[in-house]
Amino acid sequence: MLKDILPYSLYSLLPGEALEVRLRRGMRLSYLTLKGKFTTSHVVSEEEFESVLLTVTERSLYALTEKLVNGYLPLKGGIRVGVAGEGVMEGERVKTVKHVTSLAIRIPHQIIGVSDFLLIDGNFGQNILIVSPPAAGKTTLLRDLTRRISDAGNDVVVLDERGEISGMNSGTISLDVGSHTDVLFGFPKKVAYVNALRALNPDYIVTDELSGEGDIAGIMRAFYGGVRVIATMHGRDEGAIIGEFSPLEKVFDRILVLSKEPRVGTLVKDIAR
Amino acid sequence: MGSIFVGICIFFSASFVGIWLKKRTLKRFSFYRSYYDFLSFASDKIAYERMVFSEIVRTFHSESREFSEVLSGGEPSFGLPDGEIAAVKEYLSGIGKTDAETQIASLRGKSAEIKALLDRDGAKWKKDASLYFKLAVLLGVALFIILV
Repeated sequence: MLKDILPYSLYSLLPGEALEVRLRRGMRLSYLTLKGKFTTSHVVSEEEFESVLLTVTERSLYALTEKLVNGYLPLKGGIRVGVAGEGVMEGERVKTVKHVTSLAIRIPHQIIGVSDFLLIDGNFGQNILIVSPPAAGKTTLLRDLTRRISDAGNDVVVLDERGEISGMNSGTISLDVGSHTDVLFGFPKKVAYVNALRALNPDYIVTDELSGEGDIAGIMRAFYGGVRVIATMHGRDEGAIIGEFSPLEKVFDRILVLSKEPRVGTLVKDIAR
Repeated sequence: MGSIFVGICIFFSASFVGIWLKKRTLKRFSFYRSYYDFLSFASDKIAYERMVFSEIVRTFHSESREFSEVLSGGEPSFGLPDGEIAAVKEYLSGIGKTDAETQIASLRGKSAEIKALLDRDGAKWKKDASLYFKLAVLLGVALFIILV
């Protein structure tokens, strides 16, 4: 996957297990693995940066306005490319991004069995929230948990707006999310919750990175409708459920807090409520 | 008898050179005409459909084989002056690196530039093509007469 995106001069510097690669114009190449962050001595040249930018945009930056406004480009296999540059405003809204200066390439990582510490049987029956800072292994844990719950015979609907959980792109699911899983890819959350509950009759709804009103309303609707929810959100610990997220207090039976230290995916708290 | 044969050979050789010069000059016109068409096509496709570049290239029909060769990243089978091919290639390789508004403005600007070039030099190229052929034939006739 990465070798299709990066020129050999960059790809050859990375270990096979890279989870994230960061390119900044004229700055040193850095990457993240399960062991932590590393910075190489190689300075990303203008040509290398342009080559990657052209590849990830299919030489069509102009066609990706809406995706750029969201800050990322979804690629095949669930790879997500975060983009930083100069925002172009139109009134109050960001119209597009130009003069791209940084790319953060995130490679979805499947570790089968990473959620084995959670004992799951056919009637798992818990609402789980996974909390951690960015890049601490939330999505990897969520994906494995989804796979296991689904393979245990539960109907699971994954609300995968960016394709990061399932690696979905062009109708193909590239990561194992279980044999009883339906994926809603590309749907805005607000629409996805309604569609999942109305049309797919799930036992579980799985969603990544809770971020606002759409998520809260959707989760409350699922909760009161008797559908289990497994979700992730950014935060340092369980205290992240504050402010607009406080209605979720009563939803989750269990909160798992992850940390990047001493290594990505370290479980620091397992709170049963 | 020998000098007549040589004279005929020289006449035909000169005529072939004339045909070659005529074709070459006309191909230059055709190349720039296709370049202009491509720029207009691309700016419309981006403005109204946000079509990705590979799709634009795939759906564009070029009347100039040489322009198709350059568009697909190759070398044209006839020689425009080196600097001209390099300039076209450089411009084409820059497409797709900017936001839509900047890209469309750039394509329309380049398209106007090529249109002006065709308006200014196109008729001259066509006239020159015909002139080269006539001059070469005349030269062939003159050499034939001198030799015979």
